[in-house]
Parts: sequence; C-alpha cells; structure tokens
Amino acid sequence: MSSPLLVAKGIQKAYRMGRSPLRVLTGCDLTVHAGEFVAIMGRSGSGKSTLLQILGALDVPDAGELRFAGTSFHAADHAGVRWALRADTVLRVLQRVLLVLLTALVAVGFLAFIIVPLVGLLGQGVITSWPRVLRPHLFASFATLFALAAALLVLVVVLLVRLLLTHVVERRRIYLRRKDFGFVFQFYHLLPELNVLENTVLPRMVDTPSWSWLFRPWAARREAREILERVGLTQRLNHRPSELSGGERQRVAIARALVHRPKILFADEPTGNLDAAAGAELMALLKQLHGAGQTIVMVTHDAAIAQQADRILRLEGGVLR
Amino acid sequence: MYKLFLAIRYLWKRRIAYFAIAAVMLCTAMVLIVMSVMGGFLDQLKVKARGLLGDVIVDNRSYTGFPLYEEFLADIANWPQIKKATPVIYSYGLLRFVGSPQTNTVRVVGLRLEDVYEVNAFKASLYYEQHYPGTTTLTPQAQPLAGFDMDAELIDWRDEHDQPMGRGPLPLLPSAYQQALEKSWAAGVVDDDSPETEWTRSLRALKRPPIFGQYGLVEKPGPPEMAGDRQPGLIIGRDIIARRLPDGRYHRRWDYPRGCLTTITLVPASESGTIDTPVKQPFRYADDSRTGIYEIDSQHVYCDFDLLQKLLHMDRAERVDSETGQSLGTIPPRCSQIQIKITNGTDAAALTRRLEQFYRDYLNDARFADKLTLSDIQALQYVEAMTWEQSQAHIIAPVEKERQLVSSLFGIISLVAAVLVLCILYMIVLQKTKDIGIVKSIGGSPIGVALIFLGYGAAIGIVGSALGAVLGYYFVTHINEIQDFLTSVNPAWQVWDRSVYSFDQIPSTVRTLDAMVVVAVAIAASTLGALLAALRAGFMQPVEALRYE
Repeated sequence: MSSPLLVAKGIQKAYRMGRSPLRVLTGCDLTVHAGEFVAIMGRSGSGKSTLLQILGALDVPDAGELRFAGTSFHAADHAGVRWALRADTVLRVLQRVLLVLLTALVAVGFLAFIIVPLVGLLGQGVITSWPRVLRPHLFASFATLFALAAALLVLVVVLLVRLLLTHVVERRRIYLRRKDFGFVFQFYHLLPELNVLENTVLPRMVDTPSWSWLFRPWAARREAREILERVGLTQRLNHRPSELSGGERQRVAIARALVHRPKILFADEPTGNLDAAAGAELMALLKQLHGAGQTIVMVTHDAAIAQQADRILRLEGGVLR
Repeated sequence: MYKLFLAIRYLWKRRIAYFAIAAVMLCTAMVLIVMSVMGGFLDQLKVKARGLLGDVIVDNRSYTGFPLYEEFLADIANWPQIKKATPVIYSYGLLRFVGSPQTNTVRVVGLRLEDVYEVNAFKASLYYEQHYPGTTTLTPQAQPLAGFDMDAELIDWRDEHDQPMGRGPLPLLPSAYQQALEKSWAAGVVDDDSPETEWTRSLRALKRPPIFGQYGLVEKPGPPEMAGDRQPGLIIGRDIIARRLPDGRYHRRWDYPRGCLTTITLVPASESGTIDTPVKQPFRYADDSRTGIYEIDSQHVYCDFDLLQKLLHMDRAERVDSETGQSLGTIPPRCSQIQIKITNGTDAAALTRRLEQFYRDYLNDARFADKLTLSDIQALQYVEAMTWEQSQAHIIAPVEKERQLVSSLFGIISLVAAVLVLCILYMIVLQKTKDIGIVKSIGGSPIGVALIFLGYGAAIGIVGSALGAVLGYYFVTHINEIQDFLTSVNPAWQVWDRSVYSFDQIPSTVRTLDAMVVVAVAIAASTLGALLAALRAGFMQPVEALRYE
C-alpha cells in the first residue's frame, strides 16, 4: 500500500447556534491513498459538506490533525501562523477601539459643526462677541477633523495589516487549493460573467504569475480546451453558464477542477442538482477520471451514487464509520 | 493576472458600474471646467493688468510723489538689465465734457507717450491709434473735422443696417488722418471693437477704407479741416467715453467725436500735504484706451506727463523764504512712479531689490546733500521697487484665492463620486460574495481577492476620469459656442454677460498639469472608495462566501 495522500485525525467542528454550540464533527478520522475513490455518505445536516470543506482546506477545524502528503496544513501547527493569529487578535481589538473612537469623533464633530454654532446663535444676547463663540468652535472643528482623519488612517492601516496576516495564516491552505486540490460543488459555482473556456482556465490564471501569463496564456487555454473536450463541451466554449443545462454546468465545474491537475478532486454532492440521466453521465465521467488515476473524495447522500466508489464511509453522530 | 482580468470583466458586465463611471466622469469634468475657466479668468486678468505696467515699478505710494527721478533715470539708463524707463504721475481729478452736464471722478495719469509705448502694451490698447497710426498725441492739437470730397462723384449712403439712404458726397478726413487710415486699411487692420455705422457701411460698400470712430463734421459742406483752438490731448478710458454693448463691442456717441473739448479739474497738493487752489485744464479727446480691466477703463484718463506735473505743482520750482522772499535753491521735480522695461532673462525680483537700494542710497549721496528738504528725504525713504505682479497683487490675489477656493469646493463636492463608488462597490461585493468564495476555492488569496475590487475601483476611476477629461476639455474649448447656442435658444440662458464682465469671451485655459492632477485625484478617490469593499472581500472566508445567499 502506498503512503497516504490525505490524513485527517480527530477532526472536530462546532457551529454557534444561538447560545449553544452545535457540534457537527466530534472526531473524524480519515485516510485517503493516491488513486482512491472514497465516498462519504450521511443524512442531510450530518456534516458531510463541512468535513469535505475541512479536508479540502476551505475551512478550518476547531481541533484535529490534517496532513497532505505527510505535511500538516492545519493552521495552528506552524509557529509563524500562531504568531500571526495572535497579532491578528490584538489588531482586532485595536480595530474595535478605533471604531468606537471614530463614532465618538463623528458625534463630537456633529457637536462642533452644528450644535455649538447653533448655541452661539441662540445665545447671542448672552454672549455678545462672536469671536468668543467662533474660536472654540473653529478649534474644535479642526481638531475633530484632524483626529477623524488620523483615526481613519490608522484604521485603514490596521485593516491592511490584518489582511496581510490573514494571508500569512491561510498561505498553506491557499497553496493546496491552488496546486493540489480541486473542487466540484453541488450548485456548480461558475462565474456568470465568464464563458465556459474562461471559467475553466481561471484556476490556471490564478496559479500563474502575471508576467508569465502575459507571455504564455495560450498553453493554459490549450489545456483547458483539451479538458473540455474530455468532458464533451467542445461546442460550448463561448457559452455562458446561463446558456448551459445543469449537467453541462457540472461538467464545466469538473473541467475547472481538473485544469490544474489536482492530486485530489473533492466533489460535494455532484449529482445532487441533476436529473437521473445527467447524474449517471456525470458519474460515468468521474469513474473514467478515477480510472485514469485521479484520487476522488465525494460526498453524497445517494447510496446508488456512492456505490460507484472504491470505499464508502458513513458520517453518523459526528464521526466516520 | 486574474485580478486584472476579473476587474475589467466586472467593469463591462456589471451595468451598475456605469453609474459610478458616470459620477466620476461628471465630477472630473466639473472640476476641470471650473479650474480651466477660473484659471483662464486669472490668466486674462494677469495679461490685462500687465498691459499698462512696466516689468518693474518704482513707487512711494504718495499723492505728492518723490524727487530725484531724473537723476535716477539717468543713472540707470546704462544698466544692461534695463531697456527703457519712464516716469508717470498718478492723480485724481474731475472730468467734464464741454456741453455736458455730467462730471466724472477720474484717475489722471501723466505719461510720456512715446516712452510708454516702449515700456508696456499701452499702444495696443488705443482705438484711434490702431486705425489712424501716428495721429494720437498728447501735445496741443485742434479738432479734426470730417468733410467731403466735393470733386468726387456722389456715393450711395447706407445706414448701419446696410439699408440704402440715398446719395451724397464722399466723406473725407483731414489729410494726415485720411492717409493714416488708408495706411492701416492697406495693412489689413480691422475693427472688431465697434458696431457698423453709416460711414463704415457706405465706404465699405465702395471698397474704400471705412472711417472708424466718431468725427465731427464741417459746418458747411466742404473739405475736411482742423478746427478750434489747440489744446493738449487726452486719452480717455473707453468705458468712460463709449457704451459697452452686450456682445463686448463699444458704441461711441456721435456727440463725443474725436477732438471734442473736455476739461479736467485737478487738485494740487503741497509738500506738506495741504490742498492748493484747484486748477482747471481744457483738453481735446485724442483717443480712448481699453486694457480690458473695467476698473481701469472706467476711471483712468491719460495726459502728458510734463503738463500734469506742472498743473499739480510737481515740476521744478524755486524755493523761496516766505518771510524774506530770498531764494533758498530749487525744489526738485517729482513723479509718482517710474515704470521700467527690463531685458529678457533678467531676474526681476533681484533687480527690484537693487533698484530700491539704489534709490534709497541717494539719501547719502553727496550730490544731493544740501538739496533735499525733510519732506524730500521722507519721500525717498518710502520709495520701493516691485515687480508688476507684486504691484497688481490686490487685483490678482483675490482671483487666485477665489480660484483655489472654488476648485477646493468643487473638489469636496467631487468626494460624492468617491462615496458613490464606495456604495456601488460595496453593493457589488455583496452581490458577488459567491464569486469571492469561488475564486478563493480555486486558490485566490485574500490580498488577491481584495486587489480584484481595488482594481475594479481603479478601473472605474481610470475610465470615468478619462471620459471626464475628454468631456471637460471639449466643454472648455467650446464653452463660448455652447453659450452662444444656449443664448440663441433662449436669451435668458446667457450665463456670461459681456456687458458686466471685463472680457468679451468666457476665458478658459486648460493646463495639462491641472488636468493630470484632477485625473490622478479622481483615480485615487475611486480606488480609495473601493478600499472598504475590497477589504471586506479579502477578509471573507471561502466557506462563508460559498454559503452566502
């Protein structure tokens, strides 16, 4: 037996539903070897999709261990990531303080610009000279404006630093999604503004540095055409998703998931939105891909569909059986 | 690459972005138009205000002027930086046309005409000198009266609307004037300053040089002549003597013909500042001047320097002991100002400092040690030299401030565009939440996704500001045609009333640097407007985004 490609141990995940947490995954263990076709079954709401998203580096578990090709990709396993997470927590607090400060400054500005002059006008009988009214008003106005601008600037800087930290935290998972993982969703999730070819070629575009893409876009486009030919969409290259049937859209989604030659293809209820005939066609395509050596992890609630996999696991009570 | 690709794709495919582009375009065009018109106004003002001044001015801001200007002119005559210098006197007086009940308060300027022609653009501001070159003079002169060529055939007279009026003799000016007119006519000088008259229509129809301006007629039909006693010439501000028409041209009244008599009453002041007996001096209307600045053209009249100096008691005189009647020497002549034309490439600011010091050093000059009285010394102490820009700062500075203020105000209004971009992009980010999830699921990073929307904002800014710059440029370069069109549709829509403003045309100057700054600020504002939406997109978790409904 080859060394495992993907290993998950003790995966836990809970969602907050009101005041009480909803524990969806309580300790899932899974090992996937290269070339395997694994189906995960379970009832609706059992956490199948959540598990698939965690395995596919789209989501993070609350606890547990995740390894791809022997390397951990759980955020908390890296010192740099732990440092970034701590810094992000501090900056998040600072961000909240700044938001409160900004709100207060807007209120002060309102006072300085509107209320104080109004009081000055109303109190002209009492305060006889305008300068006495105007000077504090002007000072307050400019001071408030200055403070407002400074607070806004600091807030923007904080947000930009936080964005950078988020990038650091997610770097490993971004890399996996970009290079090694491919996703097929139940609802296709194609970009409506792009045509079939553009949707398919997009992952290659994401994966290629700009300067390199500028000089060699044709290779990626050629590969995308080849994959679209394999999924039978040669005649549909310039059509938009809205002009395709459900089955065709899902085949575009599969082509997009495969264009960067991922090591694992994750499929979340790929036939869930298709009729029986289209579903059968799609499964035939997945089988064909698996036959060519593609590792597939599929989530489904349909036993007939799951039967086509090498191995079937059931998610019950938050654990895989 | 995907960031740019998606940003551009969203720009073309999301129609809501067109509203943001339109907002940026209109704001860019608006600011550009305001800056160009205000800038043009300022440029025109500077050119016009410059017209009657030298490059450098020496002045002591005193009604009674300052002495030693002759010595000063002689001393600096050989300086290589100085082309020409001429003294000027400024005073106040009452102008009255003989036979008219109207009296005007005017600023009387005494100048040496030939010297002033070399120092500034005064000559170009003169109406009659333009059409009758060499006939404008401030020396004593009689009134030129138009007559008729009694030997020539009768001609068809036409009124100002080119309608036939019958036949009559051919009009003719005194020979010096007629020759000057023919000379300028042959040189192609045209009159775009006055409406047509019977004379211009009738003579133009005969392809003869039209008699421009207003001339009196000989009493009995006969040849032209120079009539009346000889009196010094006076150049009068055009807005005093002529009526400005709504189209910017001037209508000269027939009862104020060239050479008609006027009087000016002047009030001389002594060295101590007390008023002497007013003096009244008759003049003949020699020409009229138009600088383009209403404040100048409606108040200034110009006469000969030496005459005015004498009338104001600022000329050389003997100083006499009031008790003994004994001569105490001479009082040096005075002037109010010295205008200097400098050579190209001279640092005017540095020269002003040197001239000022040079003048003040006269206080320690052995040549004048015993000749200066206390009032002369005081007058010299206040002499200062300044560039023409410094001297006209009171006219230019407020317009410059106004330009900055209006541009800033419109710039602030343009922030609305940035807020609109913010709102629209925020809305688009909400609409595109699922797309954000998709892009992240295929490996898009938080920074990359943020850059898509930041690029989107920048693209809106680039397209909007480019369109705005084109629109603004087109509007500014055709602003007068647009105004004419609007006026032709409805006269009440005339925005620029030429009879109110100093300039005939709406002035405008498109400065490349200004346009570049406006475009750059528009792009920056749009990009910043997109920042919040971009950050939101960047922070969004892929799973949350994919689940978003």
